[in-house]
Amino acid sequence: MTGAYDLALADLWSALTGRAEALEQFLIWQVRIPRLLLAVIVGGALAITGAATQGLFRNPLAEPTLIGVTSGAMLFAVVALVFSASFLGASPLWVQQLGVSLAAFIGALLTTSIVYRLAAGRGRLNIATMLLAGIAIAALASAFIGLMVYQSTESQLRDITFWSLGSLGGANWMQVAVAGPLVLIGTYFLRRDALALNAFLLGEREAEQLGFRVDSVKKRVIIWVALLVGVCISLTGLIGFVGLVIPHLLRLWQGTDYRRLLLYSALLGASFLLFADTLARTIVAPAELPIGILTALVGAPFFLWLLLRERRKNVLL
Amino acid sequence: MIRATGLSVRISERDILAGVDCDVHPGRVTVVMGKNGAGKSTLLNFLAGHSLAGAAAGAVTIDGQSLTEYDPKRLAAKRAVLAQSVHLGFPLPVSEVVEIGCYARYDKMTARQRRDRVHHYLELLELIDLRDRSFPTLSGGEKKRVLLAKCLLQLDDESTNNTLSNKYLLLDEPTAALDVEQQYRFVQLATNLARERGLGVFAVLHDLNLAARFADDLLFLRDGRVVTAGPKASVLTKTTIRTTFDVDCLIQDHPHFDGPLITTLPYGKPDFAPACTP
Repeated sequence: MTGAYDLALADLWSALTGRAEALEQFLIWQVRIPRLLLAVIVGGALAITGAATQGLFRNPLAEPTLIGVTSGAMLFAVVALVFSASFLGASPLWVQQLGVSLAAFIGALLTTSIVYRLAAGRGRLNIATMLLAGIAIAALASAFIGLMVYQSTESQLRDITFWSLGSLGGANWMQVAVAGPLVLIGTYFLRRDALALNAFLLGEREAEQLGFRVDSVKKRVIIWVALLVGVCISLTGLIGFVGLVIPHLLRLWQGTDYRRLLLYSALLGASFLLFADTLARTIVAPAELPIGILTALVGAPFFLWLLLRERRKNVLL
Repeated sequence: MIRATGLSVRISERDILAGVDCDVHPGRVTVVMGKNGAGKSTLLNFLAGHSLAGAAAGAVTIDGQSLTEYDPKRLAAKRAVLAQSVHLGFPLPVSEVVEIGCYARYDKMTARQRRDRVHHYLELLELIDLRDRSFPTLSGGEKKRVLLAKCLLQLDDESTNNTLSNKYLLLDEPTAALDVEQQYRFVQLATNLARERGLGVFAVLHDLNLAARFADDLLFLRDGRVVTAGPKASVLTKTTIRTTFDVDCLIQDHPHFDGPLITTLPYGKPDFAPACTP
């Protein structure tokens, strides 16, 4: 229970049993616990979407952040944020938040479909197209976000900055209550397609002749990935590389069988983000680092290493 | 029996297949041959039930029922396709690749049954020692055997006492990228399954002598049309080979096997003509 405000384990115990002082009671129940839960939820969701997209594209580099899905979601979320003030300004806060989440979902859905069609539409995956599409969409997103910055009010500006760096700082019980069940349901449904993703390893044609309805599997995976990415983006902003690093480490250790990989990714991703967030709150306490910076510090070198390895296998470009 | 009648496929104003009839009988090996681009792989894809919507005309039935009426999982248990080449997105161990064969019946089997069946086919195809090896590290011949094990597990059906008499195996250029001995062994293996277990085998091959030795029925394709089809003795003649492949040939009695030995010769070289009389 570390962070800006020093709380001892004894305080946690007394808060849980309801015998702590009001401030500590509030900190633990309204700030720390929701934040821990959100870290677990978002970490799990990021890792499982990474594993599922890699399965869909049949490539270790296909991670929502790298192929532009996250940027697409951000783009839509930021546009929704700025315009919701004009159109939904009078409505309650949760309506506005829901609008932003929905927009993030639609953005993720659109970009996943577009990138998949561009890069893998004709049977064989074109890795260069996949990564370039990711770059193009990210560039478009950052241009639009820049544009929105000029349009935005002071508080919106803060939200936008917060998103582009990623943080679990705004966690509250409402977010946990919305995201928790969604991520659990998404995990359940993605896991139901584990066999299909295994068959996908041999190619789409092969999955089809094995009795899978390939098009519906693809649609389902894309929708659940988009939903989970949309949820993560609208709640915590851009926390990159979790979906790249976690499934890959598990592959090295446990193999690629999706019956295990999806669930293990969710569990390890949850633990990883919980750990990373604790680090983010403590290393520069009483201030805190945006968690997206931490995950990028670990993830970007890892990404470079993967690129090098893929290149050596001579399958890239 | 898999039966294609009047199968026609047009892709961007070009006839890929034009009115092709083709039968694949249980217990027999049917081999389709032809030049590159003759429509062999397209025919195989249509017999397998891939992209049926693309057919301009014609129908494919398996055991009397139209392919379009098959539920995908039932079709998966009825026929298996051995692809020409498989590139795994991520490395998998051999036993997991084979296990994928039973995914259509996954829910009906216990984990123990699945393990037993995988083991059975690994043993049958002499792959036991390779079961934990990573699939991409195998040689071409080993990969083909692993994929065959997967196909057989896909067609495996405990209820019918393990006969394969109403099942079909489609092989797309199974000998491509195999060395001479492996080519021979692989086709022999498929032929044995037809002869001993009643499996209906359909294969795209390029080697006339391999076809002459192992096929029961032959189908020659040229520009999407059937040149000739039927039992191999009636199909393998100088004229049909010339019409199909644009090569002359020498057909002799094989010194070792019961059947012909075919030596192909460049077309249009009159020097060869006298020697070409069978």
